[in-house]
Amino acid sequence: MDRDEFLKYLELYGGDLGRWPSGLGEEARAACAVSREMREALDQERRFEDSLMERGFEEPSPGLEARIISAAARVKRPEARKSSVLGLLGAVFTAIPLPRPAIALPLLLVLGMAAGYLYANYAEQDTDNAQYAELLYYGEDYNE
Amino acid sequence: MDTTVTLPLGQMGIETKEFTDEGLMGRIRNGDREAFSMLVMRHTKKYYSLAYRMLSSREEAEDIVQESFLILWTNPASWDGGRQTKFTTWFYRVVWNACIDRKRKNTPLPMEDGFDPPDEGRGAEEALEMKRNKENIDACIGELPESQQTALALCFYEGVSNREAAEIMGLSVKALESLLMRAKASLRSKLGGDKGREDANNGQR
Repeated sequence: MDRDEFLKYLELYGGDLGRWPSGLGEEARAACAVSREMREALDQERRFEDSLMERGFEEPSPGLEARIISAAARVKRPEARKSSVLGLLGAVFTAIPLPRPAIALPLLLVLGMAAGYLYANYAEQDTDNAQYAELLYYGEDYNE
Repeated sequence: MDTTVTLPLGQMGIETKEFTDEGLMGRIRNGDREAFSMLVMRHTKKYYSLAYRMLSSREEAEDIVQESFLILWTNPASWDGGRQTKFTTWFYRVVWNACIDRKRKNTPLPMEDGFDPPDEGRGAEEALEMKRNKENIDACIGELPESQQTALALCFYEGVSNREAAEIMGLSVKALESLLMRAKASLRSKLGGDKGREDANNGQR
């Protein structure tokens, strides 16, 4: 790691080399071991960060979590989803960590095939019914 | 089989396999108050810390965190777990947006009048020095553009990775890194300049 790279990464990731991305921290340590300039830059960055940490901070007041939980208990929220087929499908969608198209496309395919099968059966029945009606009306001589 | 587990409040921060954030969100969608409580106990301090860094006010930060958790409770479907956004990343974004809205609504507070502390010796002087330092750093950070303040708050103060911070802010990693570098360069210049003046003043005493 050369000087310019080190200074760039120092600016990006800060003076705690343990927080640098994997591999870079070790390279930085090795570079600092042989370069006084880099060690001084690292020390300067750490002093700068220490000064930033002097910034004021107030801890939250005690019981903040309990107040939030109490506030939620007083809030009326929309009815929880009731058990239903749609609810179950919704739960499947949200529970399985897959992109939605991976579930939606096969599901659509299956639904489409089922719809096609049912329609074909219904249409066949219709055709049969129509032929039967013709037979009754015209008699067996119709096709002669 | 009843799988309900009642944990003492002190243990609610423990994240076990059965009680991941994503798992708890699933239960919250079904109105599970215990799951909501666990999430609150686990994450309140973290999000309070971000809100405080953005707003520099304990009361405002507490309000923001409470409002954000209530949004989560009343509309849990607003987090789309199917998109594989981590809950923590999404909720950072909710809190951050709430902070930005609050900052824009707030009118600047009048500056406090200076005061002379009673002369109680060196201890009081050092305490005053520390107070001035803190206020100076707060003021310098407050002068940064919002986006730089956020990048600094997330990456430096909250320890969020650059990648996650970029996702929270809806930026590329490069853009986020650019914000960080500019923020630090500005602060180095302001604080370094102030320190130079301070050293000069100390030399004149």
